[in-house]
Amino acid sequence: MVGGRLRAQSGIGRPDAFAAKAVANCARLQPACRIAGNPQGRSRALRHRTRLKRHGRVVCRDGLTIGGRQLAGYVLHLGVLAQARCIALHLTIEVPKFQARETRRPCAVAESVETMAGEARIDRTGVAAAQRDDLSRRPEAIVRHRFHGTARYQRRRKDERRDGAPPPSSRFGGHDRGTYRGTHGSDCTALAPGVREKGFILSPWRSFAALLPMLSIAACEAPPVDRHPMPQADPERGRLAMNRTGCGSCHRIPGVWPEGSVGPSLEAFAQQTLIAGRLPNRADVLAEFVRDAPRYVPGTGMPAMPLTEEEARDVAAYLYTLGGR
Amino acid sequence: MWPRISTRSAVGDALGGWPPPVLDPAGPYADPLAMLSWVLFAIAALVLLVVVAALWVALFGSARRKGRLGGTRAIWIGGVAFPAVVLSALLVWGLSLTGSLTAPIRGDEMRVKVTGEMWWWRIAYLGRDGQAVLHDANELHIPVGQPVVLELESADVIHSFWVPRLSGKLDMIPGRTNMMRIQADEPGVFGGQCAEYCGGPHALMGFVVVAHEPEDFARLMAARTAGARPPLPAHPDLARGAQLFQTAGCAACHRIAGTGANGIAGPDLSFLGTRQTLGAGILPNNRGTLMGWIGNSQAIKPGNRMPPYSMLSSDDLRALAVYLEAQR
Repeated sequence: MVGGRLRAQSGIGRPDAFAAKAVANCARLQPACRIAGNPQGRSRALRHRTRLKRHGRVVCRDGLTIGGRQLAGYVLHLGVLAQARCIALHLTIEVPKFQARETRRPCAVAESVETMAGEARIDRTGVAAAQRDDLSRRPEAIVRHRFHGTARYQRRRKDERRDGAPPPSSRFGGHDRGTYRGTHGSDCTALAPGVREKGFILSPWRSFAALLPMLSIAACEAPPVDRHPMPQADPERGRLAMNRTGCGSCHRIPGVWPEGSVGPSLEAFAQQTLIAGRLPNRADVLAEFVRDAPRYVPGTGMPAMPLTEEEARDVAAYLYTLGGR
Repeated sequence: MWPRISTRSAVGDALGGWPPPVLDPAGPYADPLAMLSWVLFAIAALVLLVVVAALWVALFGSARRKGRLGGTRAIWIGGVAFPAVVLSALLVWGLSLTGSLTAPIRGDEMRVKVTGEMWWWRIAYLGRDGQAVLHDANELHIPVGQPVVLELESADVIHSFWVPRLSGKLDMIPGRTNMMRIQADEPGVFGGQCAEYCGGPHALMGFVVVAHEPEDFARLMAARTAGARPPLPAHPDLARGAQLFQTAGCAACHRIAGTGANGIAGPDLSFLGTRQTLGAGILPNNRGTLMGWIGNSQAIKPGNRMPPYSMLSSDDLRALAVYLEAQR
């Protein structure tokens, strides 16, 4: 666990199954399905590059979920690390720290990876947070899943199964807990040296290259505004507006001067459940409240503030960046 | 004529120009200083260039050049003649350029006495006879296009009066009256700042100069010196605020003209509702900041002389803020 964050890692064996569900909006707006498809020979450019990294964000069209949580908005890291002979997709989701007995936090467990993992099978997944443990103090509770296999390998296994061959070894479907730290693609032995496929013979060097992961997808660290998405508002403008109106004369707000003590500190506002102890902490409510607090919470010490509607939205967006992770 | 590089910021503009931008002159007493600064920067850059070139020659030049660089002649030229000429020329030019800043005061200018206090500014507009006709604090109103003479004094330690857009800085020394002129060429709000370390919240000792068109200024001063207070607006909290101002102890330090509040230890609040800023130039003036300041000014400006009023409820704070907002 790095920085007190829970890391649930899952692997995906069959890229196109994943690609069918999620589209990665990468730096060049290249969908994940295309990137995932590339190693199978659809793009010459990718095939011949040994190292390629892209960063983007999941734009999830068909409701790809992990642990019942939409992946949309997560940061994606896609990396093609070697030549495209075998594929291993790694999906890493870093979620905010869990607090003990906290049920409102999003829980990133790899429950439903199975559905997109193709042949890879997950018997049991989940993180201790599902059992309401305090993960922040139990680093060994990290669950990592890693699945390896080439598309070609999987196709071959399918063919074998159809032909009555024995089921695949459990190493492609198992799971491990905590200390499992396999190196990239160490299981990727589908193409043994000398295997001849479509007239292509792997040299020893190439087979070594094939052992490296070809493509990894790591979706990590949910953006802090994820719980209160406000795409139209600009947090930085909000911070300036707060400095201009002097919100800091009563509240302690990171990035805003001064640090008053008349009102409550807003240092971890994104995690707060209620506004002023009364209203639900929702973006629309907050944007209204900061403009005219007495109207919504009569008797509150907070007066109406000279903010326009747009500024109020920006202010709310900034407040939701505070303590959101 | 010279580059107009400003240190303005959006927040500064909203706060009446505090913290004040420098090298952004807005009057005849700040213009020469900006020009002098830019010329000094340019000459310093030039000298740096020459020194670096000489250093380069000393390190990597040919033996002949190195010999020449280390010769007596080079030392006489570069070490004696060049600095003597450049510095003398700068001295003469600089003094003649800024001569207008120290020209004798004619005596018919408008006069204002500004007293530096820890950590705010007491302002008294003086009549023809040198007597104060109007008291205010932390905000100085001046007419556009005419010089205003400031009598700078200090009540405690050395402060320094500085409105970068209108003039240079001049120290306020206890027991001395320093005279200074400022002038704004156009209406506007100009931030100022104490420029001499004067203790704890020195950095938060700002103020605002507001320049009006002469007729607006005359109207403003006439209304304020007439002594007739504008009627207070009807607000349910107003009476309670007025009462609290007396009972909570505010009146012991603060004065509000026309009421029983006659304290002189703290800033005059007679026209607080019209001020651009609170806490000596550092906060925007609205109900929220006013309540925050009254409730606990120590969290905002640590070390200032006003105690936190943690015994007041939110209703009390609001009533006081409403009452003070009405002081215009």
